[in-house]
Formats: sequence, structure tokens, C-alpha cells
Amino acid sequence: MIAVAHRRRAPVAILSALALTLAACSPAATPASPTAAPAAPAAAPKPTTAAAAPAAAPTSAQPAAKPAAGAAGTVSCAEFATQGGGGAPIKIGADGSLTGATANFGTGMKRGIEICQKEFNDAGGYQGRKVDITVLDDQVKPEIAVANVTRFLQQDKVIAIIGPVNSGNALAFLPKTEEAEVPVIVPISTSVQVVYVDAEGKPSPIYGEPGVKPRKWVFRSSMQDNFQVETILGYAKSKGWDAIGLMNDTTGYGTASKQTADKLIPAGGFKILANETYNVGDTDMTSQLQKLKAAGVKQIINFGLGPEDSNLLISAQKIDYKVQFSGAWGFSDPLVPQLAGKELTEGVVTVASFTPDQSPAAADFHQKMLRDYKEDVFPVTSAQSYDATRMMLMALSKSGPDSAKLRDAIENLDGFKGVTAAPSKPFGPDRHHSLEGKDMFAAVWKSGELVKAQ
Amino acid sequence: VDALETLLRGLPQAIASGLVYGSIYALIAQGYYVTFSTTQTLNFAQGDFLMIGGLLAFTVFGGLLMTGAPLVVALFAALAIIPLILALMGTLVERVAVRPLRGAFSLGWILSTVGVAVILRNAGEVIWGIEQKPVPSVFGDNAIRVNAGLFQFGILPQEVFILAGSLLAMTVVLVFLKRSLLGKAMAAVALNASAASLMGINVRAMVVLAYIISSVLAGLAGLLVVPVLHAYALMGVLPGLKAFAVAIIGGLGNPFGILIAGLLLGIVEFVVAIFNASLRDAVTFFLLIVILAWRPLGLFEKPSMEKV
Repeated sequence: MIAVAHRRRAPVAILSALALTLAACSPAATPASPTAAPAAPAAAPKPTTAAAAPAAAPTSAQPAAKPAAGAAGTVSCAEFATQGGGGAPIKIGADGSLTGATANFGTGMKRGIEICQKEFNDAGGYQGRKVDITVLDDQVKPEIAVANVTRFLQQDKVIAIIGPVNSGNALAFLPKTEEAEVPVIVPISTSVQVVYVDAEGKPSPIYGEPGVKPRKWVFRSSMQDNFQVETILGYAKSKGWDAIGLMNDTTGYGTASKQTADKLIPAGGFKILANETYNVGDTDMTSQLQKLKAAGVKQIINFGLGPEDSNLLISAQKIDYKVQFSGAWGFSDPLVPQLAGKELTEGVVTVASFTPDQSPAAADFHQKMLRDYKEDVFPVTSAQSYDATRMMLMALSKSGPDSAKLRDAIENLDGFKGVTAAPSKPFGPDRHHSLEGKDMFAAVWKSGELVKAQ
Repeated sequence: VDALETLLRGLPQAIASGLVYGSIYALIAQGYYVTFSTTQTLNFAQGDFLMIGGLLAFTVFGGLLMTGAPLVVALFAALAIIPLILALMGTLVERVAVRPLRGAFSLGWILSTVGVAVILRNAGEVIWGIEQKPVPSVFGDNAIRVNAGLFQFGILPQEVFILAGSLLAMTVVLVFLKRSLLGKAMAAVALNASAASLMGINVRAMVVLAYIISSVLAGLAGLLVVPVLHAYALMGVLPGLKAFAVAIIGGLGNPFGILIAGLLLGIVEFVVAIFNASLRDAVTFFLLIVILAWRPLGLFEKPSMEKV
């Protein structure tokens, strides 16, 4: 008689482990890749104040009956329309996530584009020709984004493209639009490398390194990550925050923002007491928060996305940690108050380019959203997309429907006035982002709405 | 000394959170145990059955709360509906994805149940959307806090419910398997299916029953965790994977080993997070690999002797 160890199960177990890993890989990767896509709100510059003075008080109460330009301080895309003999519609493509993990961002984008398009076409379009902006859903999947853009370029023969929401999708399709020499304005995605490349033409994750220059055909009206870091640190400085803890998720987005912060912190003279990280999908961050609490951290500056941001708020409440939360625009995702509740979100500070109370033009635009859609799901995404479309149509009114001339007209835009905080000269030969740290501002959650922080 | 103080400070909270999450992993892993012990097969869609349970809870809660029904009613409605649907799904998976592929030496059921997992995820995405949706807790959101000097931790009432609910569910299943006639019949099938069949036990029915039990367990786990994990199509991916690690570490044939391994793994995760949160998930799967190489039958299982 021989005794044999019963090992029959081992190989099955190993194989099973393999299989499970396989099962997890493909779909699990999808939620991680949608890097934060920030909306670019334009700064409402000072020049509006004189004209806006009479309208300033009752802004939110106004029903904003007409999109007509000229009401004190407000803007409309009708301003760029010209009359003429008409002709075939001018085609522009738009790509973004109308479904998927970042559906809120894409839906906001689509609505902002639609409002501008309608105002422009109703007022006559370009010399009587309408612009036809087709918005396609990429479901947060890079391969679908590429298919959409291929369709725009080859089948629809668009003169320009607006989009997308997700940085990964942008990086997937931009080589095609660059090759086709079609201008793109990115309204939501925030990653530096979407717009900037290094000396060898490779996407550059760090802004401001020597040799880094913009892609020739790509512009953005969104809040570039490095400037968001600048804005929130500027706010911390102005408030005299003296016991700061940094947190970031472990995605490329979170770590890049953390690196930017690390570069800016020594010069700003900040007192950083502790650093902590968390993974995408984490729901309980009590271990990390307890360390920050023990270190005496009173203000947390965080670089993450909506779902994890809301779990941070819940975890802090669990361990009775009353701390000032702040961070990049992940905190402005409407998911945060939905998942964590309005109460926990109250007072959280984030970075914005748009809040309805930020200027008369912004208030008016918010009313247009409510009028047309009965809701303003993710205000900053709609505003940045509205401004992206405005920039494109303003340039079109000068250049005519030719991609190369349109690109130059976008780069040389002057006298721009939008609903976000974008400056009047949004771009230049070396600068393809409209919003800088000084244009963006801190916004704070008050009873479920984002308002400009004082 | 510094690290020790950090550890001591963080330990109570890590244990509290770890027990909660560990009990979830253990509950799902018991589902792997039930089918593996009867049929030598696993349902790799177990984590996604949890997701279906969670999303069904979202729908039932949403629907009933809109009519003004109180939360407790919604909870009981979900408790009635979810096991029913999950039992149906378990039967279906066994019939369609496992039974036809269970020949000698066949490993086809691994791929087919993985296929079921992918189908469920996509279906969940299509029906409910991929974005996370909140589901309210019947017990409210006010954390229970213990504060005694260094010994501090907080826990949500729902998390206490998760811990209690999953321990209860596991006990019921184990008592059923060890004590009831049906449970003994299942054990007989596990030991020797042809002999059991000769003794008048309906082998097919026992196999289906095993799949029903494991699926219902996953569905109930979904109902328990959804207020904490939020409802979305990928909510079951990580818990399902970690439960698998727990089942391997505890031993696929050892329900008590699974329970202990689950709770331990939960605690280990949160203790690791005290030092380096980004390593949290990595540690789980590192342990899985170590156990597979060192004790492939699980941490607590002695290799049984087979006489030849």
C-alpha cells in the first residue's frame, strides 16, 4: 500500500486562478482608464463688469427669454452668424462619452454644444449655411472613439472636431486628426499630454518642461491638470491653510497631479504634514484618513475621481474626522453629492472654470440649460463645451469653412468672451489651452450646488 | 517605534473595517465551496451574481421608495425577490454553462463560466448603466463610533449588518449542509456520485441545488454590500476575485477555513493600507500565489491520504 498525497485539486485551482484573472482583466480595465476629463470653464474677465452692473443683481431670477446677444453681460453664439445665400451645411464632428462611467461629462458636453449650434443656426449660420454638429457616443472606449473620428474624417468630411471627454480616447484618435490636418478643440479632457508633446513629438505628461510644445491642430477649453493644481494651491495659500495633507489616486492622473503639486509646494512655502494614496475602486479609506488625522492634518488636498472622492467623504465621517476637503475637479462631479449625500459634500472645495454665480453670462447660460433641458447636470462640462463651440464658430466666421484657415483663426482668436473664465485671447502659437491657473477659481459645494468660493 | 505607534493607532479601525470586508469575501467564497465540494466545478461568475443582486436591490429599492414605501419594506421585498431570481440564474448557469462541459478531464466549464461573467457585466451595463448609483441603507448613515484613548474606530450601521448578515447566512448554509437530509445527500454526491445514484439520490438535482445555493449566497451578498459599494455593473469584479483568493487560501473543501481566511484577509488588507494603501490589493493576490505554490490545498487543509 502506498500513500499518495491527494493533489488532484491543485492544478484545477491554478487554472481557475488564471481564468479568473482573465475574466477580470478586460472589463475591469475600462473604469480605470477614463482619466479625469475636466471641463474648461472660462474665466469671466473683469471687462464685463461695467456692462453687467445693472444686470448683476437679478441674474438668477431672470428667465433669460431670448438667446439674443446684447442683454447686459450675456453672450450668445448668434453673435457670429452672418447672412448670405446659403448652401450645403458645414459639418463638424463631436465625440464624447454619452454612456459609460463618464456619461455625466459627455451628456453635459453634448448639451453645451447643442445650445451654441442652435443659436448660431437660428441667426443665419455662416453666410446662410447651417453648421451641422454630429455628436457621437464613444462609450469611454478608445476603439469606438477612433471609429467615430474615422467616420468624421472620411465619410462626413468634417472641417473640425470637438471632444472628447476621456484623455485615453483623445490620445487614441489625435494621431488621425493631426494627420488629416483637422483642428480639434478639447472641451473636457484635462490631461496635459492631450495637447502638449515633447521635442520628439511624444505626448508630454509634464507641462513646462524644455522643448514641450502644443500639437499643431489641437486646442483645449478644458482645465488642464497642472493649472488645476496651481489653482487649488493658490486658494490654500490665500486661506492660510497651515496643516495640509495630500491625497491622490494611483492612476496616471492622480500621480501626475501629485508630481505637479510636489514641484509647486517648495516655492509656495506650504506646510505638508502627510501624503496618502488610494486605489480606484476603494470604498473604505479609513486606514489612510486615520493616519492623516493622527498627523494633525486639517486640510486635505486630493487628486482623484468622483466615485473615490465620495468614498473619501464617507470614510472620514465614519471615523469622525472633521477636515476641510479640497482638490481638483473630481470633486465637482455630480456623483459626489449623489453618492456621499449633500450633507457630507457641504463645504468641499474644488476647482472650476464655471459656476452659475460667477458672471452674468454664466448665470444666463445656466438659465438656458434649465430652459432647454430642465436640469444642468454637470454645469462646468456644458459651459466648457459651449465655449469650445463658441471659439470654433467665432473662428469660422473669420476664416470660412477651411480646416487650415480655421486652425489659424482659432490660434489667433482675440476679443473672445465666453460663459467660462476663458480669457479674451484664449490661445497663441505656444499656448493651446485657454484656461490657466489665474483664470480658474475655487468653487465650493453649498446645498448641493457649486458656487464660487469667497 | 514610529511605525509601531502608527500600527497600534490604526489597528482597531483596520480590524473593524477588515472584518466587514472579510465577511463579504468569505460569504462569496462559500459559494465556491458549495459547488466545488459537490461537483468539482466553480462558478466564476460568482462576483457578477453579487453584482446582479446589488443592482436588483437598487431597482427594488428605487421602485418601492418612489411609491412612498418605507425602507424596511423595500429591504424585505428585495429579500424575497433576489433569492428567487438568483436561484433561477444558478439553475440556468448549471444547465447551460456547466453541465454540458463537465466530461472527464474537461476544463471547458472554466471558460464557459468566465463567459457568463462577461455576459452578465455587459448585460448589467446595458440594463443599468455603468455609472455608480447610490442605494440607501435601512439603518441610516450615522456611524457608530468607539472612542477609548488609543482604541478608536468607527463603523457604519450597514457594515454591522453586513458582518452579522453574512455570518448568519454562512451558518444557515453550513448547518443545512451538515445536518439536513438534503445536505447529506449532497455530501454523498460529492464523495461518490455513482454510488449516491445507486442509493437512490437524484444526483442531477443535488448538483442543481448546489448551484442554487451558491448563487443565492452571492445575491444576498450583493443586497448586503450595495449601500456601501454602490450599485454598478463592475461592483462584483474585485470582491469576486478576492473571494476566490479566500477560497484558495482557506481551502476549497473547508468552509471553516474559508471563513477564517476571509476575515484574516480582510484585516490584512486594511493593515497593509495603514502603511501603503497602493499595495492593498496586490497583497491579496501575492498571498494567493504563495498559498498556491506552498499549500495548494489551502492553509488549513491537511493533504488527505488516498490508498492505492
